[in-house]
Amino acid sequence: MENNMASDASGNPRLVSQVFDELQSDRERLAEHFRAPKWLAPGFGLIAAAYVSAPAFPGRQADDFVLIVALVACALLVSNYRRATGIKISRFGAREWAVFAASVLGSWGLLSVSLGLAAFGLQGWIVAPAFAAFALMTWLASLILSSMRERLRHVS
Amino acid sequence: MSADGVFNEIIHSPLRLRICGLLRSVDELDFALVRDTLGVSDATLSKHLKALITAGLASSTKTASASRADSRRITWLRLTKSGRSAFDEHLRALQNIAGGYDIPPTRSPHGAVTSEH
Repeated sequence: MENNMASDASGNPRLVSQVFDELQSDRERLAEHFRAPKWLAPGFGLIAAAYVSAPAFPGRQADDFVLIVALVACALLVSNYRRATGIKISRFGAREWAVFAASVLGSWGLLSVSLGLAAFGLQGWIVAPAFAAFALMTWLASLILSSMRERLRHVS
Repeated sequence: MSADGVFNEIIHSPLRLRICGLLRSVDELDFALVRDTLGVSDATLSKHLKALITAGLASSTKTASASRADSRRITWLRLTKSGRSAFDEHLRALQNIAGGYDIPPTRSPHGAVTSEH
């Protein structure tokens, strides 16, 4: 039936409409496969927490080391996530870019809090902004993934 | 680019149209995922992919899979630039055929609202 439908669709508006319906159904099935693994958003949260807690460690080199490890960990997470889902999407939509910008600004803000605490010798309190970074990034990463899945479901 | 779209005989084959429809929305898809989403056999999918690849509309790359103990690889599929363009033109042509039928507008792969669906 499908073959007949599509092969006849070139001249029949109703069948063309059915072809579009079928394409839409395929997209919805694909979007179901885009469900992120449970470890992905918390993984980004842990990376953000590590980045924000860097001032708790002595020495300038510790900051650079944590930043490099965080970037490598992000790349590994994305790579494993692609393998787990079988889907590669590298481009963000407007909403994803906005949430991404918010996550960067939020991390910087919490890092500045950590730097302030370290400057006052309150290294132990840095656990608070680190925890906040974990929660914030986990939430924002979930938002981005959810938005990407919805975009995937409706594209033409 | 034609306002009326350009009908493409290679893409219009039912399964190839669905393959292109899936690949158009992403950068790349795993062969196994396309197969499972469309509900076809490996051989059937390979046959239609070969037609798309031969026409320069799609391409495939293989990468090692760390999650597998054997030497099997993941095959990633993607539409080429000309494949994306041809698919968009083909959809536009189909939409013109659909004429008065109500096909809801949907979003392009990058979020912009279009009427090409």
